[in-house]
Amino acid sequence: MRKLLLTTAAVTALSAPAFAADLGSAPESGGPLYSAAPMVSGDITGALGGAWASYSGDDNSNGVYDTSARFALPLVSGVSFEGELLDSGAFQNGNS
Amino acid sequence: MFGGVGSSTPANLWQLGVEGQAYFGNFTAEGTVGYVSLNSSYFDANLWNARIGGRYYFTPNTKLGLGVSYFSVDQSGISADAWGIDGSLEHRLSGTPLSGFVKAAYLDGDGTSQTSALVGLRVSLDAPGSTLQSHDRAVPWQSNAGPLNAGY
Repeated sequence: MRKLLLTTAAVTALSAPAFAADLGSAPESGGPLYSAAPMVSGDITGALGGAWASYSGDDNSNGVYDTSARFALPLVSGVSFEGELLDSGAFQNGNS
Repeated sequence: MFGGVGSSTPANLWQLGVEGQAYFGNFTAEGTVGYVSLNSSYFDANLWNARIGGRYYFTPNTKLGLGVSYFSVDQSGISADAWGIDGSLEHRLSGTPLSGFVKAAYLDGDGTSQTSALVGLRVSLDAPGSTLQSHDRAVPWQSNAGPLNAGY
Protein backbone atom coordinates (compact mmCIF):
# COMPACT_ATOMS: atom_id res chain seq x y z
CA MET A 1 0.00 0.00 0.00
CA ARG A 2 2.79 2.38 0.92
CA LYS A 3 4.58 1.53 -2.29
CA LEU A 4 1.43 2.25 -4.26
CA LEU A 5 1.03 5.64 -2.55
CA LEU A 6 4.64 6.55 -3.27
CA THR A 7 4.27 5.50 -6.86
CA THR A 8 1.10 7.54 -7.22
CA ALA A 9 2.76 10.56 -5.63
CA ALA A 10 5.80 10.20 -7.88
CA VAL A 11 3.70 9.93 -11.01
CA THR A 12 1.65 12.92 -9.93
CA ALA A 13 4.78 14.92 -9.21
CA LEU A 14 6.32 14.02 -12.55
CA SER A 15 3.21 14.66 -14.55
CA ALA A 16 2.20 17.88 -12.87
CA PRO A 17 4.86 20.10 -14.50
CA ALA A 18 4.03 18.73 -17.95
CA PHE A 19 0.35 19.28 -17.34
CA ALA A 20 1.02 22.80 -16.14
CA ALA A 21 3.21 23.53 -19.13
CA ASP A 22 0.47 22.30 -21.40
CA LEU A 23 -2.10 24.58 -19.87
CA GLY A 24 0.19 27.49 -19.33
CA SER A 25 1.44 29.02 -16.14
CA ALA A 26 -0.37 31.30 -13.81
CA PRO A 27 0.21 34.96 -14.64
CA GLU A 28 2.56 36.87 -12.44
CA SER A 29 1.17 39.82 -10.64
CA GLY A 30 0.89 42.62 -13.15
CA GLY A 31 1.93 40.39 -16.01
CA PRO A 32 -0.06 39.50 -19.09
CA LEU A 33 -2.87 37.02 -18.75
CA TYR A 34 -2.19 33.58 -20.13
CA SER A 35 -3.86 32.87 -23.43
CA ALA A 36 -3.39 29.68 -25.35
CA ALA A 37 -3.19 29.66 -29.13
CA PRO A 38 -6.80 29.24 -30.21
CA MET A 39 -7.83 26.11 -32.03
CA VAL A 40 -10.26 28.12 -34.13
CA SER A 41 -9.47 31.27 -36.06
CA GLY A 42 -12.02 33.44 -37.73
CA ASP A 43 -13.29 36.90 -38.37
CA ILE A 44 -16.41 39.02 -38.54
CA THR A 45 -16.73 41.53 -41.35
CA GLY A 46 -19.17 44.29 -42.16
CA ALA A 47 -19.12 46.68 -45.12
CA LEU A 48 -21.28 49.34 -46.72
CA GLY A 49 -21.14 50.79 -50.18
CA GLY A 50 -22.84 51.17 -53.51
CA ALA A 51 -23.43 49.20 -56.67
CA TRP A 52 -24.12 50.71 -60.06
CA ALA A 53 -25.55 48.43 -62.70
CA SER A 54 -26.47 48.87 -66.35
CA TYR A 55 -28.72 46.44 -68.17
CA SER A 56 -29.48 47.11 -71.83
CA GLY A 57 -29.37 50.85 -71.30
CA ASP A 58 -31.29 50.89 -68.02
CA ASP A 59 -29.19 52.18 -65.18
CA ASN A 60 -29.75 51.18 -61.61
CA SER A 61 -27.97 52.17 -58.44
CA ASN A 62 -28.18 50.58 -55.03
CA GLY A 63 -26.82 51.04 -51.60
CA VAL A 64 -25.42 47.67 -50.61
CA TYR A 65 -24.20 45.93 -47.50
CA ASP A 66 -22.01 42.90 -47.13
CA THR A 67 -21.54 40.99 -43.89
CA SER A 68 -19.84 37.70 -43.15
CA ALA A 69 -18.55 35.54 -40.34
CA ARG A 70 -15.84 32.99 -41.08
CA PHE A 71 -13.98 30.39 -39.10
CA ALA A 72 -11.35 27.74 -39.74
CA LEU A 73 -10.78 24.71 -37.53
CA PRO A 74 -7.48 22.91 -38.20
CA LEU A 75 -8.06 19.15 -38.24
CA VAL A 76 -4.75 17.62 -39.27
CA SER A 77 -1.70 19.03 -41.00
CA GLY A 78 -2.82 20.77 -44.18
CA VAL A 79 -6.50 20.07 -43.62
CA SER A 80 -8.95 22.39 -41.93
CA PHE A 81 -12.69 22.72 -41.68
CA GLU A 82 -13.82 26.16 -42.77
CA GLY A 83 -17.20 27.78 -42.53
CA GLU A 84 -18.71 31.03 -43.67
CA LEU A 85 -22.04 32.67 -42.96
CA LEU A 86 -22.79 35.67 -45.12
CA ASP A 87 -25.52 38.09 -45.87
CA SER A 88 -25.41 40.65 -48.66
CA GLY A 89 -28.06 42.83 -50.15
CA ALA A 90 -29.32 46.19 -51.27
CA PHE A 91 -31.02 48.65 -48.98
CA GLN A 92 -31.80 51.45 -51.40
CA ASN A 93 -32.90 51.53 -55.00
CA GLY A 94 -32.56 54.16 -57.65
CA ASN A 95 -33.36 53.96 -61.34
CA SER A 96 -32.55 56.28 -64.19
CA MET B 1 -11.73 21.76 -51.39
CA PHE B 2 -14.91 23.37 -50.15
CA GLY B 3 -18.62 22.73 -50.23
CA GLY B 4 -21.70 24.10 -48.64
CA VAL B 5 -25.42 24.60 -48.63
CA GLY B 6 -27.42 27.72 -48.04
CA SER B 7 -30.77 29.36 -48.27
CA SER B 8 -31.77 32.85 -49.22
CA THR B 9 -35.04 34.27 -50.43
CA PRO B 10 -36.25 33.02 -52.82
CA ALA B 11 -33.80 30.20 -53.56
CA ASN B 12 -31.88 27.43 -51.88
CA LEU B 13 -28.36 26.74 -53.05
CA TRP B 14 -25.50 24.34 -52.70
CA GLN B 15 -21.96 24.75 -53.89
CA LEU B 16 -18.84 22.70 -54.36
CA GLY B 17 -15.39 23.72 -55.43
CA VAL B 18 -11.64 23.56 -55.19
CA GLU B 19 -9.34 26.27 -53.89
CA GLY B 20 -5.60 26.60 -53.81
CA GLN B 21 -3.00 29.02 -52.53
CA ALA B 22 0.74 29.28 -53.06
CA TYR B 23 2.97 31.40 -50.83
CA PHE B 24 5.95 33.35 -52.20
CA GLY B 25 7.21 35.51 -49.37
CA ASN B 26 5.09 38.67 -49.38
CA PHE B 27 2.97 37.42 -52.28
CA THR B 28 0.15 34.90 -52.17
CA ALA B 29 -1.25 33.45 -55.39
CA GLU B 30 -4.70 31.93 -55.22
CA GLY B 31 -7.18 30.19 -57.44
CA THR B 32 -10.72 28.91 -57.07
CA VAL B 33 -13.05 26.85 -59.24
CA GLY B 34 -16.58 26.39 -57.98
CA TYR B 35 -20.05 25.28 -58.93
CA VAL B 36 -23.26 26.70 -57.50
CA SER B 37 -26.75 25.31 -57.96
CA LEU B 38 -29.74 27.54 -57.18
CA ASN B 39 -33.17 26.03 -56.85
CA SER B 40 -36.50 27.64 -56.15
CA SER B 41 -40.14 27.34 -57.12
CA TYR B 42 -39.59 30.20 -59.60
CA PHE B 43 -36.37 29.18 -61.32
CA ASP B 44 -33.37 26.88 -61.36
CA ALA B 45 -29.90 28.10 -62.15
CA ASN B 46 -26.44 26.59 -62.36
CA LEU B 47 -23.33 28.70 -62.12
CA TRP B 48 -19.67 27.92 -62.75
CA ASN B 49 -17.15 30.32 -61.34
CA ALA B 50 -13.38 30.48 -61.68
CA ARG B 51 -11.12 33.09 -60.13
CA ILE B 52 -7.40 33.66 -60.07
CA GLY B 53 -5.89 36.35 -57.93
CA GLY B 54 -3.04 37.50 -55.80
CA ARG B 55 -2.39 39.28 -52.54
CA TYR B 56 0.70 41.38 -51.99
CA TYR B 57 1.64 42.31 -48.42
CA PHE B 58 3.49 45.62 -48.30
CA THR B 59 3.87 44.88 -44.59
CA PRO B 60 2.48 41.93 -42.62
CA ASN B 61 -0.52 44.15 -41.81
CA THR B 62 -1.12 45.86 -45.16
CA LYS B 63 -2.18 44.04 -48.28
CA LEU B 64 -3.32 44.73 -51.82
CA GLY B 65 -5.54 42.12 -53.45
CA LEU B 66 -6.38 41.75 -57.14
CA GLY B 67 -8.40 39.12 -58.96
CA VAL B 68 -9.98 38.15 -62.26
CA SER B 69 -13.14 36.04 -62.36
CA TYR B 70 -15.18 34.20 -64.95
CA PHE B 71 -18.81 33.21 -64.55
CA SER B 72 -20.97 30.94 -66.65
CA VAL B 73 -24.65 30.90 -65.77
CA ASP B 74 -27.34 28.59 -67.09
CA GLN B 75 -30.81 29.61 -65.96
CA SER B 76 -33.79 27.69 -67.24
CA GLY B 77 -31.97 26.82 -70.46
CA ILE B 78 -30.62 30.34 -71.08
CA SER B 79 -26.84 30.66 -70.83
CA ALA B 80 -24.77 33.73 -70.12
CA ASP B 81 -21.10 34.41 -69.55
CA ALA B 82 -19.52 37.20 -67.58
CA TRP B 83 -16.07 38.46 -66.62
CA GLY B 84 -15.16 40.34 -63.52
CA ILE B 85 -12.23 42.06 -61.90
CA ASP B 86 -11.87 42.93 -58.24
CA GLY B 87 -9.41 44.77 -56.07
CA SER B 88 -9.01 45.50 -52.38
CA LEU B 89 -6.73 47.29 -49.96
CA GLU B 90 -6.75 46.29 -46.30
CA HIS B 91 -4.80 47.41 -43.26
CA ARG B 92 -4.82 45.85 -39.80
CA LEU B 93 -3.94 47.95 -36.79
CA SER B 94 -0.83 46.36 -35.34
CA GLY B 95 -1.42 44.49 -32.12
CA THR B 96 -5.20 44.69 -32.43
CA PRO B 97 -7.87 42.50 -34.05
CA LEU B 98 -9.21 45.44 -36.06
CA SER B 99 -8.67 46.09 -39.72
CA GLY B 100 -10.28 48.34 -42.28
CA PHE B 101 -10.59 47.82 -45.99
CA VAL B 102 -11.88 49.24 -49.24
CA LYS B 103 -12.72 47.07 -52.18
CA ALA B 104 -14.25 47.40 -55.60
CA ALA B 105 -15.41 45.06 -58.31
CA TYR B 106 -16.55 45.25 -61.90
CA LEU B 107 -18.60 42.66 -63.76
CA ASP B 108 -19.43 42.67 -67.45
CA GLY B 109 -21.31 40.22 -69.62
CA ASP B 110 -24.12 39.88 -72.14
CA GLY B 111 -25.26 43.49 -72.06
CA THR B 112 -25.02 43.80 -68.31
CA SER B 113 -22.38 45.54 -66.29
CA GLN B 114 -22.07 46.27 -62.61
CA THR B 115 -19.61 48.27 -60.59
CA SER B 116 -19.52 48.08 -56.82
CA ALA B 117 -17.42 49.69 -54.15
CA LEU B 118 -17.50 49.14 -50.39
CA VAL B 119 -15.70 50.22 -47.28
CA GLY B 120 -15.70 47.99 -44.23
CA LEU B 121 -14.32 46.80 -40.94
CA ARG B 122 -13.09 43.35 -39.95
CA VAL B 123 -12.62 41.92 -36.46
CA SER B 124 -10.21 39.01 -36.48
CA LEU B 125 -10.40 36.28 -33.86
CA ASP B 126 -6.96 34.74 -33.67
CA ALA B 127 -3.87 34.34 -31.51
CA PRO B 128 -2.28 37.37 -29.87
CA GLY B 129 0.40 38.89 -32.09
CA SER B 130 -1.27 37.71 -35.28
CA THR B 131 -0.98 39.83 -38.38
CA LEU B 132 -3.18 40.27 -41.40
CA GLN B 133 -0.89 37.93 -43.33
CA SER B 134 -0.89 35.20 -40.70
CA HIS B 135 -4.66 35.51 -40.33
CA ASP B 136 -5.19 35.13 -44.06
CA ARG B 137 -3.17 31.93 -43.99
CA ALA B 138 -5.13 30.61 -41.02
CA VAL B 139 -8.49 31.40 -42.62
CA PRO B 140 -7.77 31.24 -46.36
CA TRP B 141 -11.14 30.69 -47.95
CA GLN B 142 -13.63 33.39 -48.72
CA SER B 143 -16.55 32.71 -51.01
CA ASN B 144 -17.06 34.73 -54.15
CA ALA B 145 -20.72 35.35 -53.40
CA GLY B 146 -21.91 38.83 -52.54
CA PRO B 147 -22.17 42.12 -54.38
CA LEU B 148 -18.61 43.12 -53.54
CA ASN B 149 -16.83 40.14 -54.99
CA ALA B 150 -16.23 40.36 -58.71
CA GLY B 151 -19.49 42.24 -58.90
CA TYR B 152 -21.53 39.15 -58.35
